Amino acid sequence: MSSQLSAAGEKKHRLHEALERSHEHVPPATWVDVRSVMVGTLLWVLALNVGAIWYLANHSPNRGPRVIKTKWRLLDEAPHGTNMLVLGDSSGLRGVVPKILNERLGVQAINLGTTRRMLVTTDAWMLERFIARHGAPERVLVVHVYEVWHGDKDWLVSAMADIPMNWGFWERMKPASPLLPSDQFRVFLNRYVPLYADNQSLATLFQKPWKAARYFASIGVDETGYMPIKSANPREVEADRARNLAAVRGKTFVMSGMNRMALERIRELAEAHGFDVYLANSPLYEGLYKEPEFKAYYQQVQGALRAFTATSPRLHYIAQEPWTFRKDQLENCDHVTEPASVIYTNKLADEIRRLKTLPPRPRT
Amino acid sequence: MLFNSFVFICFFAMVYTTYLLLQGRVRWQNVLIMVASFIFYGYWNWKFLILVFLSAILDYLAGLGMEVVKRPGWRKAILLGSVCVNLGIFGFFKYWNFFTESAAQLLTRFGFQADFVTLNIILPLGISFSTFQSLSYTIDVYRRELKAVRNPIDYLAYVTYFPQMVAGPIERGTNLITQFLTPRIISPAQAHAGLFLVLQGYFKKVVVADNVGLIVNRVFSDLPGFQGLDLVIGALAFAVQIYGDFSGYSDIARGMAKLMGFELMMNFRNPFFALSPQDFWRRWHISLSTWLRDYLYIPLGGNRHGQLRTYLSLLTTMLLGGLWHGAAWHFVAWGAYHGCLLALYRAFDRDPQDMDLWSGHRHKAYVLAKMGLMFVLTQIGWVLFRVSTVSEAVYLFTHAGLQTSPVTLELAHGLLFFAAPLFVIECWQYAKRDGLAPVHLPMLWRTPVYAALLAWMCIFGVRNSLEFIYFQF
Repeated sequence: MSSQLSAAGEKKHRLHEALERSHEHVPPATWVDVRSVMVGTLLWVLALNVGAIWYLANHSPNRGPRVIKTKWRLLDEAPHGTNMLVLGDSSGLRGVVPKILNERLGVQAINLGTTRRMLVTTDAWMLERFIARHGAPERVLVVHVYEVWHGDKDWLVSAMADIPMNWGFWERMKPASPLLPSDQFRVFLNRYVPLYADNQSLATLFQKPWKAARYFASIGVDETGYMPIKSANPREVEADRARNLAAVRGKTFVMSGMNRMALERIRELAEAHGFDVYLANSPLYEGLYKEPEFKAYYQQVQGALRAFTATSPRLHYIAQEPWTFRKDQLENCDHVTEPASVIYTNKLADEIRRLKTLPPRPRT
Repeated sequence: MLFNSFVFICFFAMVYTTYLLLQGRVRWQNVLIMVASFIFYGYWNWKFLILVFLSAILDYLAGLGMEVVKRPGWRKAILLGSVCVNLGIFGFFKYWNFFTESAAQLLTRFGFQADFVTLNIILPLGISFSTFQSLSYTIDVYRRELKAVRNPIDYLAYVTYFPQMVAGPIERGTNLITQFLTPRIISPAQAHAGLFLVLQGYFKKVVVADNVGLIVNRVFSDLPGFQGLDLVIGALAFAVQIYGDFSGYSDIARGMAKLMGFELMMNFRNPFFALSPQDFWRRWHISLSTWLRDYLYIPLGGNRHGQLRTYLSLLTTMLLGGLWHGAAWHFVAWGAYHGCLLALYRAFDRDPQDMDLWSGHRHKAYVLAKMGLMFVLTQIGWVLFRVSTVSEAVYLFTHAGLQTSPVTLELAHGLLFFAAPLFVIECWQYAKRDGLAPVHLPMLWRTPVYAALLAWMCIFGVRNSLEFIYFQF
């Protein structure tokens, strides 16, 4: 060093070094110490991650994953004698009351509706799993909001980690949904590394701990799988209307390949096991449905579903002209409040009763 | 290539692995550093690599020239040539439009119609830092404090060293070049400290600065949309943001350098605890303030020519320091403000320079009050620094107050939540008078503290992270 510095430079350098040392004291360490610190830190992070997995499984502020897990548990532990399944997204979860179906149709129904991210694919998977565990149902009602029908694999990948089945189930179930390695990595992160992947839920907990008690409370799904909404939110309905309109503006509807394959699988199961499947449009905000642009898009969805249900006598398309509601009956454009869900379910029951259907095959 | 990007982490992992494989072969390690630095810089804009290369080669030749030539006049001419080229490039890219537009505006006020050419100039990344670093080399060689580097690779590796190339610390040849010429031995103690600095730096950046930055951007993008207390919170948030951002960058740079066996100079030393402007500049951006002291303030006369000349030197140095940050009048105002503060404190503050909370020179309450006053004064400066125009600063100063709005609580909560961990670390380091205080914890405590920092980064790290503020300079 001294060969490069003159005496003046050397002096300046030493002063500089002395100043640095007075403000930063590097403690002695061995390579074993360094490795121990690194391994110890990683073990702690691992432990925190395991804690986060446990916490979020039971108390996540994000209700979506909790709903999905609850519904799969309900599917596995369905009450004896269950013979009608309500499948679909959150519009069905919030809008279909199994107790009313039981009274009106003389069935024993459970509501397995989850979220829109699950697409129709998980309807098919749930149905297959139900048949494997409990035998075929007599009736299956599938309720989806219009936008689900064009949803593709990307939606499903984001929610796949929440489905409580063993790794690789997406290839074992029908329709199979093979994932790219990058998607599998995403599912892995979502399922096993919530510290990174579900950071928003954890952030909410730490930033607003006074709300934690709310997350420890039940998510409000009753024993039949129905999740009522207590109060309307007209302002959100209007905001959601604008979002929906923007989403369909200038778009042409095409049913996604994933959903088509799932419908075909449902049809295959219905025909093989002899039960009826009712595809129903979700409840809808009247202010949205009266928009010509929206209606034009919606008609394309109706056309596609009508064409598909015409392919089998076991398939029925009900609520084709969607039943609309006022904003004081809704939480958003397709989530009805509890009183409105009674109206919606009764209308569904009326229409199912009016349909002439083939007799169900004895349960297998 | 941002430090807080996945690309950079992969890049560093590859470079570091190769670097370790070349351990003991200094020249090859320097070649690797040079190539890696060019890739690092070229990833932003490869066209500017030519500029970086040419200006570095010029300074390298200037250094050699000053060593070969014996006549003082020729040596001075070479130095002047190097300074002019460096400042010429710097001035053109950074100040051309600023000065032409300002001159045009001034002439228009006096009734003249001026039509200067303004250019669509891209500011080369980190030009302010690299220019000052290059200048320090040639000046030190001229002053014969440093011998010129013989091998161009060693010089290029020094001047483009990627951990500190774009946002400092502004290294001196006397500190860093010598390290490029001797074998680097990575000691476990150094690696341990380096790992901590990297961890701390990332924490300061992605957890503290980026989250608080969201508050800052919200408030400063719509000043009239907020009430008095919101403006105060926005201003306070900026102080936290800029410190977290810039010192975070410096920590990462220093940490990475330690892992490679280098020692970069300390750039920050708990500046929120400063008691006077002099003390503040001994704690804030130390590599710049000492550069300005050694290469501008002292050559301007320093304190050797009476009070008035000293004040003038201080004001000039800080004005230019402000302008170094950016080509805008609010930076000039910020520099002038700090120059005035330095002069005022120099005139009236009689407390000893080494006073702190524990030194016993004064009652602790007095020291705390003085610290509080300095914090407020610095805060005023940060407003000048953050605004886009001087009129925005005027608006903020005239409207800041205690009036609340429906978002006041949310803003305050956000600021407190993210500033609190930083505050705790700072207090700890200040109390221990040691920037590496957490490294001294027993292993049983150290690992959970490090894990907490990592977990906090995973949970609260802003994924679409903002660029480091000082990259623009």
